[in-house]
Amino acid sequence: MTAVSQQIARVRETVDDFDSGPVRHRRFQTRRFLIAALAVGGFTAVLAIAWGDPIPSWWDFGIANWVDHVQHWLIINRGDNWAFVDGFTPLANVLKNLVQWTLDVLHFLTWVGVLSLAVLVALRVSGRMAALAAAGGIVLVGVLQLWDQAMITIAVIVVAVVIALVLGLPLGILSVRRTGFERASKIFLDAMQVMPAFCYLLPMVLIFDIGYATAVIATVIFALPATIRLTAHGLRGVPAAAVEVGTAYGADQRQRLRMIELPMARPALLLGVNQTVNLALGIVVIAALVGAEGLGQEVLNGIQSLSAPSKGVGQAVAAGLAIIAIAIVFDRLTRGRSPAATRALRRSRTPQRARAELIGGAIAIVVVVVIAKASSVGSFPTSIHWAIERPVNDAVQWIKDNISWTTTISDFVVTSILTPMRDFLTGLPWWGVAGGFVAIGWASGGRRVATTCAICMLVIAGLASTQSDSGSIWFDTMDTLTQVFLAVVLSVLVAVPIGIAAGLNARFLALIRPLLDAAQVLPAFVYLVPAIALFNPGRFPGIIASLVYALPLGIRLTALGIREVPETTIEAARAMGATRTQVLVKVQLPQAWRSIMLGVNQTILMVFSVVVIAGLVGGGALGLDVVYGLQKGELGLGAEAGIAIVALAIVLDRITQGWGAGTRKTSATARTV
Amino acid sequence: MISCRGVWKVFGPKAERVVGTPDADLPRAELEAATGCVAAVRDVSFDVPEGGVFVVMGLSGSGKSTLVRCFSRLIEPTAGDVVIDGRNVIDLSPADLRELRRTRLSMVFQNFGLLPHRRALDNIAFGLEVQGVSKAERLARAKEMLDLVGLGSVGESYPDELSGGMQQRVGLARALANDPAILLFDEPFSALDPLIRRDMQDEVVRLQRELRKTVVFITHDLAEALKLGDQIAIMRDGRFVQVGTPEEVVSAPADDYVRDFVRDVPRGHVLTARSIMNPVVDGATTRVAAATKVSDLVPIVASVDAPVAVIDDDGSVCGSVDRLCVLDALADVPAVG
Amino acid sequence: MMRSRWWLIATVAVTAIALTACGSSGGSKSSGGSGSGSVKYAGAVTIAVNPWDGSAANANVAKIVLEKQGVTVTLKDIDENAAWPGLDSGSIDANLEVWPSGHASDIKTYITEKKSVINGGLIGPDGHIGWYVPDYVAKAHPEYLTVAGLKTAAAAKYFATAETGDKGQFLLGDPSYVSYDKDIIKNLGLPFQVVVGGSEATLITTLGKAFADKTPLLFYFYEPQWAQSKYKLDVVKLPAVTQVCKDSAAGQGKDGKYACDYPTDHLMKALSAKLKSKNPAVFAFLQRMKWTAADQNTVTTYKNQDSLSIEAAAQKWVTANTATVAAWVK
Repeated sequence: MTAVSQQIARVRETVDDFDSGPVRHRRFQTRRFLIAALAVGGFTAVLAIAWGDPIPSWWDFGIANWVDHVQHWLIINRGDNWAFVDGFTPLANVLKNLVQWTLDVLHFLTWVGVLSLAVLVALRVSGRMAALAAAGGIVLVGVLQLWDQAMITIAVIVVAVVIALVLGLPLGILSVRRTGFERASKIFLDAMQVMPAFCYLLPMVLIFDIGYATAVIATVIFALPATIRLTAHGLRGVPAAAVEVGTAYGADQRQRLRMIELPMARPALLLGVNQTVNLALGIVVIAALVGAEGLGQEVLNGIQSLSAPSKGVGQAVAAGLAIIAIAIVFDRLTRGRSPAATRALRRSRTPQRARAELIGGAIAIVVVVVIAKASSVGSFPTSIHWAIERPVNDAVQWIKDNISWTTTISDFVVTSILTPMRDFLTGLPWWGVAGGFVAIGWASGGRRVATTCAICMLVIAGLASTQSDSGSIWFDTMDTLTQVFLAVVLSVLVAVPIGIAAGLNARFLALIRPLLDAAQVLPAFVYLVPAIALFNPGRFPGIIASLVYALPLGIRLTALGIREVPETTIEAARAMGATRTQVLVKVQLPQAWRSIMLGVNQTILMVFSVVVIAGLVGGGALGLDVVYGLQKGELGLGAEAGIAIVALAIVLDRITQGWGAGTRKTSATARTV
Repeated sequence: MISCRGVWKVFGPKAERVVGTPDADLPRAELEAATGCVAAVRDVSFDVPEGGVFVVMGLSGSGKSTLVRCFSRLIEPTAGDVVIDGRNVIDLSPADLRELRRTRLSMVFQNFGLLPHRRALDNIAFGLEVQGVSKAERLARAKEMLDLVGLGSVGESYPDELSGGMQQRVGLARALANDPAILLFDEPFSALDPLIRRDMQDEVVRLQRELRKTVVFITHDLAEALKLGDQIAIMRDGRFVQVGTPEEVVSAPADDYVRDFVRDVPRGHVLTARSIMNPVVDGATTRVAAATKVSDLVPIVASVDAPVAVIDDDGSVCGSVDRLCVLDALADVPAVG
Repeated sequence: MMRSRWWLIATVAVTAIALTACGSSGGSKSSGGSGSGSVKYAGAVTIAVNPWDGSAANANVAKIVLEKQGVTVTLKDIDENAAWPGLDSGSIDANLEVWPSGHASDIKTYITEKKSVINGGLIGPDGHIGWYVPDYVAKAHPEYLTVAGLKTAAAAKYFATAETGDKGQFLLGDPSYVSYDKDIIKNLGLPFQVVVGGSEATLITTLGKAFADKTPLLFYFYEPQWAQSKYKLDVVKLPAVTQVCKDSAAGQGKDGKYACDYPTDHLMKALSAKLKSKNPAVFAFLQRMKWTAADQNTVTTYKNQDSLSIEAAAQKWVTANTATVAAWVK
């Protein structure tokens, strides 16, 4: 049904405009409603009768058991089995050496060499202001005295991002070409994005051993979906008319790709690189857990030595700042120029001049490096040190000593909202909850979404692990659901007003943009301790952590939606005498609705990707199960919790996608704001 | 040169089943309600001789842009044959089809279809690059084409630095660059200002005089159609309602729809003596050719009192015109007889 | 032309990858040492540093002593659980402080079954896990240091938080540590609920906050731990370890019958079996290395109270304890 109407819609765009008369409203919906009610009711009844409550023991996929067996097999056979000898171990060595080589190159360049390289590349790709910012980022890393750690992180990121691009670009192209591939890969990409890295970290270690290789692979798993989706998004953004020109002049598929699609998608592809780097940076702390060291290790060391005045949260914050600085540098290297600047540039830059610039730049770097080597410059001079550790630690201590009213808020939220909600959900029979989700799914997205919801709920029910802290995965899923729900509601309540303000006022947007950037790459580990100091351990600090992480995107998408409303529409409203408020409420907000709903949808996914953080601050539930999986080596439990997280995320994702009325921009679009 | 036989294009599920059923004759809205399909082109047949200019005129939604895309199978026709150079395009293999598109026909697009990341020269050379022509050769050819369309100096510019008219000249140059036998124009001038549009139409007339291509030209502008076309097809709801010379269409509209269309046409510029003449009368001393436009007849009939004899191509007298019938024609009173 | 360039790039890339794969196993073999004893030391060794001070103290002391003997020592910061696969594959040679209670299954799999990791003997200090309260709680309510006191409704109310409602909160930290608290609470009939903090940082931050506000807190803690010297804590007296509890602990508490105090953890060293064949001298050294809880505390106190770097703190201890060190070196 939808496929056909989509086809028709496409036809309407490509062919002439059809004047098929006024849109005919569908006949009264009673019949549809009855069918839906019958199907959902039937499904629920079958669950209630055949399965019953509680979830019967025969409905258990035994995933935990199976995973534990695999784990045991891996432990015993790693090192001897041919798959390791001829496959994984050489692969791990390749990755390890690639990182090591990159690191060697960075060290060989010395800090002035790295600085000049970054500045020159930023200058060429993104212009003067970008070069300045990149230089600032590099110097910041230096004055924080985190040079060597930062180089390790950069080496891991560079290798991971290159691999993600090498895999992601062709797969992105493939998913545009073959809708079948795209449909089949969707669930895997969703899983890769939402499944906490903690779940697959230990298996990766068993397969690829500790160190850079596992860090690189975990990073690639996390970042690859974005690369694939943004590539596909970029290619889809190429106007069909431009591609048709190619076809009309007899270009074959490869010529169209090379001569039309890729060049025209360039800005979107650069955005893809940019996002891939950002996501990769988000996982450096987790990479440090498996021995990849670098800035992530600094963060961990900080929160593991809370007593030392020169370490503690201050050390974690310093490392967090360095991570933000690296994000800024990479952003400026891949940002590209504004259309106006590009136009101005291509007038003056002839091919000869471009070549001269390239050679000149290379010579400049060689000269700089030679001079640096001659005067034995290596890492950043230790004499220049911006020591922020103590002031930060003093601030945290001050919070501990002086602020206690905040716990009133968290206590209120926990006792009056979270606990009653959880008690309500867990008090219901499980088939009731499942039926409810299927009904909501049907209402918001029709039969297909309802089917997805049904499958996901059955999957969650089949994860009957009894090792879980609360006794069952189902219980933990309901617990996590309430936390996610509240986090998303709060996030929307905060993000929409700020996003509206930012959409209306460009200066305000420029003001908060650096904060949004920072919040997206700052590892949650950095602000966990202050969050606990403010709110007591439990479910609330986890919600705060997910707010910090998810808010930027919600704000960006709302602002984007507001800014995308065509000027002429607003003009028309003004001409009819609408006040500013009326323009906002009656014109801008309704038109921004899709973008805001996309924000809700993406917020949900973001919140899910930090569910583990809740487990680290006393939030329990699925997050804690995943932490158990890694920390106690209970892979089975971790895997079941991870699957539950993915299934729940898919349910909420598909339901809220329906609210966005079909269009699915990627979150990347928001980065342009 | 181009020959279309019973071409259909139906969009929607199981589109091929609609063709040939009574459903196919339903009005568009009813067809969509009954089958979920939309018939964009219905049973269209016509021929364009070599060097001829065939104009398809219709309002938006009439299916004309779909039709022109069926020739090179940018849109696959649901049924029917399209014969070009004696070969049925429908039967071509993908490779042969590409070859046809590369060398035999070129298209000029409504919104110019220039690639924004390429300079004007590289845009013109696009078709040659697709064919694998070497860089030096294709750029030389592109420069030549740029001169041909009168834009010698803008080769280094990017499309967004050019005015609409210049962009479409580049589009025209691109179409001519691979020296095709057939040119397809898809509403090429509808996005341009009226004055520039007239210039571009003159340009096409000039080029056509020099190059003698076989042209299919899509437009929604009747004046443009009358100015450029040897043959005009009026299209409505996917069908040709009338095919004929400009004069035939204006003087003898096939139905009320066409009549409504041609009402505002300055008839004097289209009609000829032949289409308004009365039977032969004696005593006519002045003579005019049958192909004389009515607007040119006015001064002649004004200067003599007697009827004027109309002379056929072979020199024989075939009719007569007088002040009254010229006035009638200009005033849009149906011709007698 | 375009094509040939692509070929070139592809060829270079393939060659590079092939080279990387081959050139992986090279390791520098630094030779000879200025060893004072009869044993000849050489080669390189990688020692794990787990995320707590005691582990760093052990590793840094070992590093200083071994490097003086001419051994190249790399310290590897790594999660204690990820260290096991490292020991198994040989990318880590030694982990000098393993709390066996938290790693029963690792010990079973790697040491007993696969024998790729070798029990390197005890490192010296013992670990004590227990239930703790801040000293101001103990002073105000000495009854809460006993099971009987904790059984009362008043205790539940006193320790209750928003998370636990009408029950008392028992706060757990890092979930990787062995924990029988749920069973203890159930089997002793205490009106408490376990809240898993999820990380040591959560536990210690909460502890600091409690001391700042003087709020009640009952929690899982252990020593050696640096916070023990910063905050004055009192231990809750749980029932002595019985045979039932011993049996239950042997099965990692899966029978749910545990109802006693925690048994003492004898901290052990885990060494890679590959080290034994690769570098027997260093292997034997690490087997011999053993010190006391007081020694280890000295190093961590140097670090935490005198704000020395861990390297400097370790050096200070080594300089002052030549006799102990000489016994390890031989």
